[in-house]
Amino acid sequence: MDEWWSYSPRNLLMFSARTYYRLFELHNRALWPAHLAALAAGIAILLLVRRRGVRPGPLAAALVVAAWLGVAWSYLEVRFATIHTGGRTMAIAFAVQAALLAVIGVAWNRSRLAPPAGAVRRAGLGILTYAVLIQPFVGRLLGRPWAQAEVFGLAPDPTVAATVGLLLLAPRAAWFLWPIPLAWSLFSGMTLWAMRAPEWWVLPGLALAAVALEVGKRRR
Amino acid sequence: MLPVVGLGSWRTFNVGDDPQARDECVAVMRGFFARGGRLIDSSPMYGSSQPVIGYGLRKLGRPKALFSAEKVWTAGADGPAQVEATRRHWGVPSFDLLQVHNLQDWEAHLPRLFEMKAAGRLRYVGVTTSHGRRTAEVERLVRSQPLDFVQVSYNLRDRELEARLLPLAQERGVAVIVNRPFNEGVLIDSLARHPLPAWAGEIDCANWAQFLLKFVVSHPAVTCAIPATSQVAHLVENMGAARGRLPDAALRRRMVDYFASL
Repeated sequence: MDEWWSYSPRNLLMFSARTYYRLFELHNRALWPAHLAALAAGIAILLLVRRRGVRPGPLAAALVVAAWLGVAWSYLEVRFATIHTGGRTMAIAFAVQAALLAVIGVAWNRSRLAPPAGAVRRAGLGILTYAVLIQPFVGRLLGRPWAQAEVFGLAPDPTVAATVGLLLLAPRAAWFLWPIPLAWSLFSGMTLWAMRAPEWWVLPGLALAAVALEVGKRRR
Repeated sequence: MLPVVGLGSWRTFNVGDDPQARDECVAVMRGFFARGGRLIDSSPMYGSSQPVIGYGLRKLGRPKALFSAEKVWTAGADGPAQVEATRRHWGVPSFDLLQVHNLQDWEAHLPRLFEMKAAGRLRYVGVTTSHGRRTAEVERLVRSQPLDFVQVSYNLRDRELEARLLPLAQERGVAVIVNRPFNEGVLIDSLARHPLPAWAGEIDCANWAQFLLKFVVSHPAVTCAIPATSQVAHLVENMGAARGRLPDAALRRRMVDYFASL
């Protein structure tokens, strides 16, 4: 597209807010009751990383990898690609991220570094808790129906947020694990902003805070 | 002769595979044809809008009144394949109008489209732009190419084209399709809290949608406007602009002044 920089995100929004949220409704209806398994997986990750003295790498990473693969196929490829010309590319990016995340499980347990403590740990746990336990309620609190809830492992935003939290909690997550979650956070924030969704700032805000904390973590 | 109100599909018809939303789009198309509408416009850039239009046309028994307006939006070499894919989505034997979307690679596309027209596989050829971009290039093409149509953005707030392009198109006999007559809904939203002036009745406007559309289609260079909607109630409002009196030059000036005063 020529002069693409002169377009605002609102000019580029390809679909209506109604269509965007209906996509989650159709998605949830098609996958129910997979939500229970996804929620159990999210809680399992939370419990694993909360327990001190346990090296949660492989299991937590396996669950997150499964979540990224599930979102790549069942949401981005099957649903989102029907309303966004870049949907298939995004699905491929999520699959690539799933492959990259597999390394975190190995690296986590082999790392000689101690897991982060203090503010970084609290932020990581906070973001992970938000993604798994709070985000599904956000749409309802904003007046959208339950049927359009966004659930970790099934919808991209909570899956990305949970991953950002997990990366913060790892002793040291390789730099290449960050770009795709950050790119999605930016894209999602712009999409929600263009749709005038009041929660547009949440995911980009969490991602930016996580990057700042990660930089601080690496400098120590 | 085309009715002055057509039907756009940007954003509103991109509903994916949602069966409920697709049927709502069919209801809009049914209402459009029932009120004398003809021109439906879409693009390969509009996600699932093309297959949704094709679905609607099948459901409605392929209305004979249809004036199919499409676009080519790809690198030059891929143009013929894209046009064919678009034709299959619509389920039509050929298009009435094919436009080069946002002038993308027009040097490659326009000669092919003129060839199609000469061979009887296309009735009209055009180019499009939006949001006031590349207007000077559109002007050059209007002067240098045998275009039948140009599609541009024009509304009560964005009136820069009145200075050169619209008079040029009128002088050259090039038909003008206007996209974004409501500036993607922003104008309707911003005007909703203001009262419609009493004198709007002089041009048979019952709501802001008709006020905005009548301003656009009353410009002597404009052939039709293509507001997009996914709601039958909004379609009914829009199609109302194709009926009744249109503003003359003095009343158009009054509309501009009133809008500026809000």
